[in-house]
Amino acid sequence: MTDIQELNERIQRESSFVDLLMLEMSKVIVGQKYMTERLIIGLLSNGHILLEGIPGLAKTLAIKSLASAINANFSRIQFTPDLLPADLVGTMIYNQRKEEFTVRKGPLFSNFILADEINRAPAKVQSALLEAMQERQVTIGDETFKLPEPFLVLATQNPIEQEGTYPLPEAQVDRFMLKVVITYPTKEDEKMIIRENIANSFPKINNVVNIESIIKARNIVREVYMDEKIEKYIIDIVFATRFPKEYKLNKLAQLISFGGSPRASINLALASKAYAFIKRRGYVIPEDVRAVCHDVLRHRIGLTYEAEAENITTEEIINEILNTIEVP
Amino acid sequence: MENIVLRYYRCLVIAGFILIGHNAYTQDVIATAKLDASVIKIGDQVKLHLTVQYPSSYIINWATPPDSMGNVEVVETSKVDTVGRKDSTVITQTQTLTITAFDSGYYPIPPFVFHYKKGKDTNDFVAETQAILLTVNTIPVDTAKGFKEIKNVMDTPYSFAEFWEQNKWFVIAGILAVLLIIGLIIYLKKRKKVIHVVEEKIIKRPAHEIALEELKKVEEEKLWQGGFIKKYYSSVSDVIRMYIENRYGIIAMELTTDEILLQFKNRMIHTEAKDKLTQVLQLSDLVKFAKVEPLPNEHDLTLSNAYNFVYSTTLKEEPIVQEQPQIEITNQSQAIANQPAPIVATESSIPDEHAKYMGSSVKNKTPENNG
Repeated sequence: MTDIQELNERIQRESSFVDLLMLEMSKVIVGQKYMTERLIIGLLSNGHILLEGIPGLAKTLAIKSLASAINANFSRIQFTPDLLPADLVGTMIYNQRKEEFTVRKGPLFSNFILADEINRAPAKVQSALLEAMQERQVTIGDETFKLPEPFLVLATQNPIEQEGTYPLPEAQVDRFMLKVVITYPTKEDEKMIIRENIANSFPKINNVVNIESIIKARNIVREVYMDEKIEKYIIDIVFATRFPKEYKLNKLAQLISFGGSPRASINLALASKAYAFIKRRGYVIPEDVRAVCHDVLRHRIGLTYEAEAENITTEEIINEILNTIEVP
Repeated sequence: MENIVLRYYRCLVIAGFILIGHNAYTQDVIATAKLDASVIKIGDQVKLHLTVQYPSSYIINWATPPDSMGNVEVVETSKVDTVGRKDSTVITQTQTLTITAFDSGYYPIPPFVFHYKKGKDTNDFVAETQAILLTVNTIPVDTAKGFKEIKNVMDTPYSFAEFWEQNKWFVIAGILAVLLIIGLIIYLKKRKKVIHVVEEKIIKRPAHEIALEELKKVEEEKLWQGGFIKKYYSSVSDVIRMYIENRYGIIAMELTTDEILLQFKNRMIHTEAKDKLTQVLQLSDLVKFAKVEPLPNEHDLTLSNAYNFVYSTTLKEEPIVQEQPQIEITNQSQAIANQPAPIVATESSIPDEHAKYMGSSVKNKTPENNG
């Protein structure tokens, strides 16, 4: 039995919770399979997710349901312009009885963090969160605390309200593994949403997975086989965002101000592995790369003024790249 | 009483002199000034005709008209026109002045003085026109009524004739330029088309020919026999994808296996051909990306399926029908007859050397059941 076959069998065994998780979430989240799948990809590849969508598309509910199904802690932080870093990470409080400062941990000490409307808070608060995301630890006073595992930040951005917002700098956006754009549900899904919301009995999410299974699955995801050809394919895609002319994409050269960072390549590889895991495969195929490519790259490509003037989006640029780069 | 009669007589004589000699001081040179109209409205223009009649032996020094005469302005002065031949005894010269006045009132036009010499006589003589009164009336204004707005500048109709007169050369030049550009475009397009056709004829080979040639090369390289299984499957799948790109215009080299198979979902090709394509691409993916090592018979099967897929989807001209019914050839039927025949795959296009890879479906294929 080859390594891959063995891995396939292990994945078949260990990934059974994915179906359970999705089934449980579908009890309260009607439709939005794409979003649910991306949440699980983020969970399995230990990457944070930036959700973009107009209000009312069940972003908060999805994260809350995911936390309930995994039996993990969940904190929802509404970002506002007057929010302070201490409101997130915690602060030192003077204890009169002990006559000393004690640490009060902030809401960041949870497994799942929903940073709602992240672009409403000023840069210093965003930085405090992003530091925690990157380092997975928080320093209060002179003491450093490890954040719990799994630690997943799901931030939301509202694309239609730009008044009074502090857009995330490119370097900070880059720290989100995926940027998922959520669209409206279908007519059929919306019909179901109406029925479920009007009915008195709102389904309860059961705890179907434990944290240990998630951590175990994360290790298996990293073992998913990625052939050199796939690695080259990923590198070609990311390099095409940086040097389009080298890939005969001359018309993109004037539309892209900066391309994906090495973090883009790492995350594309990781997300592809996680996607392969969800699909019960022990190896990555080009389909996996293409399936997650938009979510990994859409926030990592900078557009020039020319592109903005012509209403060209990063989606179109990624499509053009995928249609040009030869599939192995 | 006698004094009264004498006084009347004197007056009569003076009046007679005035009436008779009104137009001239001398008999031999007569200078006159005459207005077209002695009463004009403010701003109107009127012609003043100056005429001097003199014997041909005299030399006249024509008076230079002034630019203005008090409130009367000279708008235009014509040239001095001579009437009568040089050999005639009397010469008449005329000049017309266009005059106007912008204030109402009574304006005398002073006499015009002409100096002349009588032949060889060195003495200077003078002839003068009579003074004329020009009456300039204003427009009656009813002060009881209120002030009215100044009217806008009136648009005068602009006729095509006027436009043509002013711009005909520009229009002609524009038309010529447009014709030149159109001619140039047509010329360039024709030239481009010719080049394109020539290029296609020279470079483009039938997709199946290239694919079969490439598959033959892969077969001859004996890659899997040498242990290069991954390279073998990569080559076979690349040949098939390139064939699909050339044959169907699908960008198969940039598509994944699933995407390629999706493209064939609704295409009119034989199900067996689709199955063979699926086997080639999916097994190749497993070898390329999942370290799968197929059995030796699967290597042959994959190549066989690749050949089969190419044969069963080959573009081939329909065989020429030997006996044709006698029909009357009309223009339309002639045009149809001149068109290229519909392209279908036939068994005759499959060489004998690859017969070992042939499946029953291809061997028994007729042009009707091929997509």
